[in-house]
Amino acid sequence: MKHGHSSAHDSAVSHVTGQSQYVDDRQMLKNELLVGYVTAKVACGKIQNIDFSKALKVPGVVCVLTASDLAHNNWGTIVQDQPLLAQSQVEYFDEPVAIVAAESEQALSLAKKMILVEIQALPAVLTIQEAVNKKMFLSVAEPFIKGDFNQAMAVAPHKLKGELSLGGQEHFYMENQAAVVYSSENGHFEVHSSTQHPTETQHVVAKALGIEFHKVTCIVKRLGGGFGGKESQAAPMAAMAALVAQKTGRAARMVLTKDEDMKITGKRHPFWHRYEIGFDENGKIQAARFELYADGGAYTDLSPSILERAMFHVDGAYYLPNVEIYAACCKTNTYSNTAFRGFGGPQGTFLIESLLEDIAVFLKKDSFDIRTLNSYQGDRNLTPYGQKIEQNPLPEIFSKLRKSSDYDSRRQEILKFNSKDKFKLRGLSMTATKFGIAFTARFLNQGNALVNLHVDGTAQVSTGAVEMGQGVNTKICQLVAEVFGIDSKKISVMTTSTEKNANTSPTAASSGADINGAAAVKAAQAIRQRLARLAEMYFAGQTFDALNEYQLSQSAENLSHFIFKEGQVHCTRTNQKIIFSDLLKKAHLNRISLSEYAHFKTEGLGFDKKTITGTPFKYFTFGAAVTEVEIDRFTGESKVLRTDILMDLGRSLNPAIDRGQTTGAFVQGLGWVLLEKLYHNTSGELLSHSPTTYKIPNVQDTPRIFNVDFIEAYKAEGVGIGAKAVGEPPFLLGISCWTAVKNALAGLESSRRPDFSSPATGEVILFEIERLKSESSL
Amino acid sequence: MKMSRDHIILSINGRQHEIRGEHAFMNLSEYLRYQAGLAGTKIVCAEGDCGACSVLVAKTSDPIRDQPVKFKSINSCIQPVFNLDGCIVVTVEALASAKELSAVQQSMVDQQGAQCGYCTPGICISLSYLKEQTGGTAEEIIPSKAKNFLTGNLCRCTGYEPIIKAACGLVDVKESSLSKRFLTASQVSTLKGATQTDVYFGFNRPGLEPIEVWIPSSKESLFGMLGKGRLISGATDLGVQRNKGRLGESRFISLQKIAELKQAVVTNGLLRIGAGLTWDQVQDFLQDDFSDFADSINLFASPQIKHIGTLAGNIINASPIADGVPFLLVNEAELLLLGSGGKERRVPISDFYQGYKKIGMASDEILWAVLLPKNKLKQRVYKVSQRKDLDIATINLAIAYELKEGVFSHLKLAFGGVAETSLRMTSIESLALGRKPDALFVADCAKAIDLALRPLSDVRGSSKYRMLLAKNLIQKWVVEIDLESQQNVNEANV
Repeated sequence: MKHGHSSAHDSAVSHVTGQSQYVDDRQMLKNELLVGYVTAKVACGKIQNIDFSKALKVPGVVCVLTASDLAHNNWGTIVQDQPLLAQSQVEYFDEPVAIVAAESEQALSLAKKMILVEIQALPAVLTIQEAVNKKMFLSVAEPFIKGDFNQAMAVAPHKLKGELSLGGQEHFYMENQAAVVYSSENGHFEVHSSTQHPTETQHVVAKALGIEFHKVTCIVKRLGGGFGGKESQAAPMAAMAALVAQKTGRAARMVLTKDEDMKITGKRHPFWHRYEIGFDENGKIQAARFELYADGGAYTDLSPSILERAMFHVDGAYYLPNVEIYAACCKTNTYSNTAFRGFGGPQGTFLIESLLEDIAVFLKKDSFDIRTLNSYQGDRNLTPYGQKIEQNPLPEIFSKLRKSSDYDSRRQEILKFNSKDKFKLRGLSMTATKFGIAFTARFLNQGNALVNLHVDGTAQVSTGAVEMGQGVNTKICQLVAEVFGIDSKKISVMTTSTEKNANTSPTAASSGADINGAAAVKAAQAIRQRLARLAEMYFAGQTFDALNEYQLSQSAENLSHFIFKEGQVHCTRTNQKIIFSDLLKKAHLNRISLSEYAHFKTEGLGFDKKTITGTPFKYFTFGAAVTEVEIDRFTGESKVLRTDILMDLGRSLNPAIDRGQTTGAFVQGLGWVLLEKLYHNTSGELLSHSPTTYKIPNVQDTPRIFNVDFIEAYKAEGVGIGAKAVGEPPFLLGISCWTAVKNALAGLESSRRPDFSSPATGEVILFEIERLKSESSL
Repeated sequence: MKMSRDHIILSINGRQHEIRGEHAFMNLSEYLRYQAGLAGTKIVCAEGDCGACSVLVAKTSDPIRDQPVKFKSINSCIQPVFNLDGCIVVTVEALASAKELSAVQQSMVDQQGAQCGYCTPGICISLSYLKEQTGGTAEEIIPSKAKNFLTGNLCRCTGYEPIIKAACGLVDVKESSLSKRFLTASQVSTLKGATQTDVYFGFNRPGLEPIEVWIPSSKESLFGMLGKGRLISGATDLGVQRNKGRLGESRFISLQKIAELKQAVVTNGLLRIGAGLTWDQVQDFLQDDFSDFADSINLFASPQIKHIGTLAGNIINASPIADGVPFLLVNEAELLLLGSGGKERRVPISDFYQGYKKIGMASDEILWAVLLPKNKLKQRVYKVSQRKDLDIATINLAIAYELKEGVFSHLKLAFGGVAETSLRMTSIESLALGRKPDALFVADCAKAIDLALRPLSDVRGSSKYRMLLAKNLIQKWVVEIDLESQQNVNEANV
């Protein structure tokens, strides 16, 4: 099973039989404690008193712990400004203030009700606009400036100016945040956590307990979904459970309910964009000025990096000759927003795609034409941050997709439909993704892997990658199988653990397969080199006995004539063969290591934010989608009728897995722009905190016709595996659902252009229909 | 009371379990995961919305006699074990035979239907239900129909596309059904025996009142207990309330074993819907006479909810946004209430609601049946929600009307979601008689709506949005009437 083979997910069978193990599926130990927390019921305030004396009297309650019980309270990936437990200041509604440990669920829930938290409420800042007015920022980015905006704007024939609000999004991983911690001998702790970042979880736990890193091992079998929500924010739950384990010496389990999870963990950043653009009669953009404001929530978390990625993606797939991009991340009194598939990229690209739709409406032209005109092409290839788009499949993707989606004839049909139909309104729109691959923090672009061959011809591979459904383990398995020329069924990708792979990066930024796969290949290749050398001596007739053993030479001679294939090692020069496992046995008897550890780093990355020079991304993943929506004129309800997606994924490792990533990301994007609304009351309390009130896409919300196809225009460069990263890029294509709504509303032929926020819920659309109708009748 | 037992008997994956005390009070999902060692069934939302906890249940007590005992999917996270006395349960762990994956499981593997795997057990259960339910022909398993079996299962990874393909991969698969494997005659008769006995159990809780549960097996036993505890039927709402810590009661009476509550009969043009009929049974029963409403049940309830939730629960729950109530209001249904000792009382549903979540029923009364007169009126049911399927309505509207020579000769109209109870719009009804459904009528309705409705702003929509929707739905309906009459004219001309 190698490159290009759609082998099944390596956990497929255990998934469908219910055997796959997640954190909360671990059997409970006899002495195990259940851990919960109580939260503050104000968005901002000063803690006056926490009285848990009554809670301690509940039978079965073992302890109640507060900030003062922690050796080190503050944590944070970039800035350590977030307390595990609020100490004196409360910064968001439902911020945890105390931990309870009990022997039963009933005792835990009763005890939680008996903890009295007195807080003096202070005025809270709950909107981006208020934070901007008060200049409450967690970070302000260095602007990207290219060309001369003022001059270009002054001569531009047409101008648009305005603002655009984008809502946040809950990750809604199916497996809620969970951790089980076992305290073991000599002050060591074994942490089982549903985390995308075992290394950071290990570090946060160790610091919270006031112990050194070597005393904490973080183990991750798999996640029931992550999407970025467990990159940084899994660590606090592990730390809380670990604190109980440390204080009591007993096993401790913290598993959040969906309601708890949604209330306390951060989400996709809402953004508020301000823009000014100038363009010519054809719709070609000449000048653009953008201000991007993100809602970071109460603490820094990953916000500065997310803000940057929004700036890196505000050009989308389009060339902006004269541009100024400013950005700041606001501090508000809400949960601390965090990584979510796309990491700011979708919020950036959303703006330009919305504006291209606006230009088309303004000039009464077709928006696909406007996008084709503005897309990166030829020498119009310099991004606002100075990196050139060298291998650019966008023109090919655009023209192929226009044909395969039957865009032009459907456009005509829609015009006819909208002029006649009394109930429905349809819209059609194409948007693109040009997603930069690499962590923009350079040091994260490294991975390591441990490959152990066994003498029966099987292998176990361990890396820092976390399997969360995206198929990274399957891909790593395929890569290693390809190196050794054995069936991927002979290879197991093992549980991720910080004792085997330390100092790892989070499985994030779509990079899991790139960096961990490359490290695994490097380790496997080193073993293969030794095995080829051994085969060479064996085929040459050398033998070993009680006195002599094979001695491998260190020469770097090319051994590419030794082919590892179908469970055999074959020398093409001498046409001799040996069964792979036989060779392994010889290796072991001759004290040749069948194990290797390798480290990989992505070369050629470096970007100076101050001077806006360098190469933030190793390569880009490109794609585009054409989406048709239908709107109920009376209720504002929308339905996606058809979506056609075309992406360039290079030399795909596993097309079936990549296809699943693409459909999954797209539908998640659809949810973000059409359905998923985070609703807070005026006190800043989140009221949509479960699937009853927060609606992620259901099976009926998927496009009625859904065509997904890939081309192989350019291989990924520099990561060794040729396949392009796929986790995040298709998420941005969900934006086509929103621009299609805009396109549909333009069909009302109002004197005003459609101008509305995201998500385009039925309510947003219906009010916009009303506004446009009243404008047109004036 | 008849001979009484102190524990629950049910079969899980072919093994009989006797469940006592606090374990019998657990949700089935908790019992499976933490007591029976069957952790394949997942708990995500604990409110019956995501389907990760789905299991198959066959109720041996189901008294619709001409039908064999069948498996249906339910949400185990909101179903107390005690509500399943005498049931046969199959979880994801038992789908595969000793040797090989089931066809559903193999199709899920082949189509890459599982990514993170957390929703997968529930999806496999829903697809197994599809397989049990259909003959597996190519006409029965097309994407649009397969989707109807999956509305109760959320997946955040796949975008559903590979799961729909996995469903379509079940066409013409030959495989021994789960019914054949698990619903053997001896198994069914053993457990059916269990449903003939009353059950009572209780247990103490630290710091709280003890829990007591009665599970009467006959009408007579039930009548002796009315008023002594909270009646619990399908538990699709009470199960959620309990999980969220909002259920204060400590004494419960399960209605699951009362055969008489399952009656669905028509006499003299009156449909009598037994309070124990689940939504899927109500849907079948109403399909001929009230197809608009019957069809709409698919939108507001997933298969898992339809299989255990009841119309009666929807009425008693008294939510101002109850999906069934506006329909019952405009068709002038009556409620048959029984008091302790079996004293009957008939109440028009229009008199039943007295305020927000306040109903005209004594604590020792039970809703026994809904009486719905057949009529020849045209029916319309509208529902607007944030998400089309399986969502609580922002607003709903039911209309029953008749036009004679182009003017209204009858109109009954009721909204949900616009006041503290579902609301009959008598002002619109009276102004309509003798008038045409035209623009002027729509404008007058809008005025009446302005006067009568005072909707709240909440997570499902602002007050302003609800007002606008109320008016627009009337307008939409009138445009539909107009279009229908044009079509009728065209057909007549042809």
